[in-house]
Parts: sequence; C-alpha cells; structure tokens
Amino acid sequence: MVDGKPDLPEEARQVEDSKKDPKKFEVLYERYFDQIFGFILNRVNDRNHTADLTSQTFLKALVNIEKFKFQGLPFSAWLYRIAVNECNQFFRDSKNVRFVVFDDFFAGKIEGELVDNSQALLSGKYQRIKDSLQYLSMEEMQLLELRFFEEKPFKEVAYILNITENNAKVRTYRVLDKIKKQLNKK
Amino acid sequence: MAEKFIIIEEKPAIAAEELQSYKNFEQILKERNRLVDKPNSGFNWKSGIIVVIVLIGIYSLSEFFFNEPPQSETTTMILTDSINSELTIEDSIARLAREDSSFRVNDDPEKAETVDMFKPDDVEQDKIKFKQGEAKTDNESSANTDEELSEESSSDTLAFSGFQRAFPTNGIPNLYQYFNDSLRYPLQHFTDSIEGVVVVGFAIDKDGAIIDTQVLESLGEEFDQEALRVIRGMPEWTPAKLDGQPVRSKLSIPLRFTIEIFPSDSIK
Repeated sequence: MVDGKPDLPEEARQVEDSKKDPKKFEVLYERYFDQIFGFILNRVNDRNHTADLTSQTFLKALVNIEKFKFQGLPFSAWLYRIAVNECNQFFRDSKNVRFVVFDDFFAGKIEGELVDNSQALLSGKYQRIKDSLQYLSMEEMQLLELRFFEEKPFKEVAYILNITENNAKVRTYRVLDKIKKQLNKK
Repeated sequence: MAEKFIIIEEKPAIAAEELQSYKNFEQILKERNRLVDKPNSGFNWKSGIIVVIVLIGIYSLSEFFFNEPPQSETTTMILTDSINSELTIEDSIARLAREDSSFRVNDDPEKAETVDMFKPDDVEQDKIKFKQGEAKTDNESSANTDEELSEESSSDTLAFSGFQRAFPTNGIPNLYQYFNDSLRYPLQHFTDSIEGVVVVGFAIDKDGAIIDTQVLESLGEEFDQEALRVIRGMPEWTPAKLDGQPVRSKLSIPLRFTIEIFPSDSIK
C-alpha cells in the first residue's frame, strides 16, 4: 500500500490466497477494518451496533470470497458494497435512525461542485447546504456521501450501489441540481 | 413525513485503542468455518436453518392417482366411489379405528351406500358421520396435520380397510432431523440475507419412491434447487394405502430458509 492506495495486483494475490486459506484474509481484514468501521459508525453512530455490522460485513466477505472477481477495483469496494447492504438491512429491521456526517470537509466538497455558489452561499453557506440536504432522499444522500465524503471514483460508487457508472454520474449530478434549486429558492 | 436521517456536524469520535478492541479476526474465522466447512453441526448455528414441516393432507381426488387398476371392474368402481369420503375424513377414521375396534368401512359392493363407523358418544361423531360421495369440506385435518401425522405414523398397521396416507418410515422426528442436517443456505445469497419458504410438492409412488418433485412456491433458483435436492434425498417413505393396497399420493412440504448469524451478544 502506497499513500493509502492499495497495490491492486498485490491485493488480487492476497484475495486469491484467502480463497485457498481463509486465515490469509487477516491481511485484508487488518487493512480495511478501520475504514469500514468508520464508514458504518458515521451512519449508525453507535459503537456496539457498528462493531456488530462491521463483523458481519467481513464475515460475509470471507464466506463469499470465492465469488469476488477483480474488476480493477480495490477489494475495499466490495467491502463497502456489503457494508452498505448491511446498514440498509439494519435500518430497515431496527428502525434505528440513520445518521449523516456533514462536516466541513463534506460541506466544502459539495460547495465546490455547486457552480453558481458565488452570491448564494456567501454567508452561512454550509448551513444553507445543510438545510437543503433535508430535501434529499436516502438514496440521494448515499450517493453524495460515497462520492464526496468517501471520495470514491464513480466507478466504485457504481459498483458499491450496484448501478452502472453512467447512472451513478447522472444521478449524482441530478442530486447536485436538486441542491442548487433549493439554494436558489431562498 | 418522518425524518429520514439526522445530520451531525462531526464524525462520531472513537479512540484508536477502542477501535482496536473491536477487532476480532479469530471470531470471524471461527464463524466462517462454521458456516462454510460444516454448516450444520455447530451448536451455535442458533436458529440456523429452521425447517418447518407441515405435511399437507391429501384433500381431493385430483391429488390422488391409481397407477394400477385393481383386479376387477367392480372393485374399481367401489374404490373410486369411496375415495371422496375416505379422503376427507381420513384423520377421523384413523383415530377412530384405534379407539373403536368395531369400526369398519363397508366395502361390500351391494351395500356401498353408507359407512357405519362411530359410537354414539364419540366426540368426533359429527365430523365423521357422512354418506358416501358427500362432498366434505372439513378442514380440521389440515389444522392438525402435524400431530396427527406423527400419531398415525406410529400406528401404521391399522386393522381396517380404508385410506392410510403416506408417512416417513422412520417417523416425523427423524424427517425433521434430516431436514435440519441437510438443508443448506445457498451461500451465494448470503450477502442478500434472503429468508423465506420454498414449498416443494412431490408424490410418493406405490413403491415408496419420491417422484414428481416440483417447486410450488419459489424463493429463487438456488433456494429451489436446494429444496429439491433435500426433498429428493429424503429418507424412505411408506406409501399411502387404500384398502391395504399401496397407492400413489401427493404431498407438499414447506422448507424454511432463515439465516441468523452473529447475534449481537457474540461480539464483545
């Protein structure tokens, strides 16, 4: 791993090793545990539930590792995909509230995508973006988070959500348009 | 509209040491081995795959086949004529036959009009009093199918001529056990957390063979295939009998696929 970017051929080899010997999966587990835990914690905001969901995510990944085929994406994309499904299932089953972390980083990233931000966002801009997020559906929020909070390339976003790359792009820009409209209303 | 999500302005904080404490690869590995290598033997496979068996009784003529015509034409007539009534009250008959040895089904071709088979004080009287050919829609047999089946399987040699349905030769509990041991959750759907029931219909032929297996209620290709595999591999069945003659009969069994892993108290 260099600069947080996994070395894909090496990772592919580690996955193949894990298929033969599940114990070898520990390398991947160690590499991605913190990321996946953080990803789930941001949504669930409860450590025990997060620990539970993280374990399930890795367990399902390991149990199904035979099915994983390298498509030029890091192994983490698969883990995120399972994690997203686990979280969705969790929220459906438990009626727990879904959390969205809207910190300055995320706000800045979204702001950067809004072209006509010059006058509308001069004062209290983050607050205004935050307010406009309330009008988004959960799916729309999910897209924004993966793209601008997790900073996943569209290819990975698409894979995680099991949609086409093109669809991921189109939908993301539609969401941004929706936010813009909300901002212009005020 | 209810709030879909709550926006927080800071990531939930967690100390590195605490994060570290949640790591438990051994546990993952253990669970994995239990699921993949020997999915059915672990005590911790808590509810695992629960198999609910309800052997649905044989209700109508259409579900009942004769492959081999009985010896004479007269007999054929009687058999066919008496099926309707016998099928609908089979459970009562079986129970009564044990309770009341004087019970009999009149199969004399000349007097095939009525069947006398109850004691006046029998509580089941109303249910079993019938004339031949009368279309009964009594559903009590389906409600009690489970217990009655196990009851009946223990008394497979009834001293009366009438209908006796097919049952697993080794008894219902053993069949349960077989389903528990054999039914595997298709792991390719593990990530989807699919749960549900596949209903498999099948017939027990005159020689006890399991034939005509088909999925009546599907849950997806892999689940159906797994359910069919398990049904086809069932232990021996004793065929249904009509007047002591083995006959082919149709049955259906729902197989439940559930998945429950990593109960939250197992992670510490």
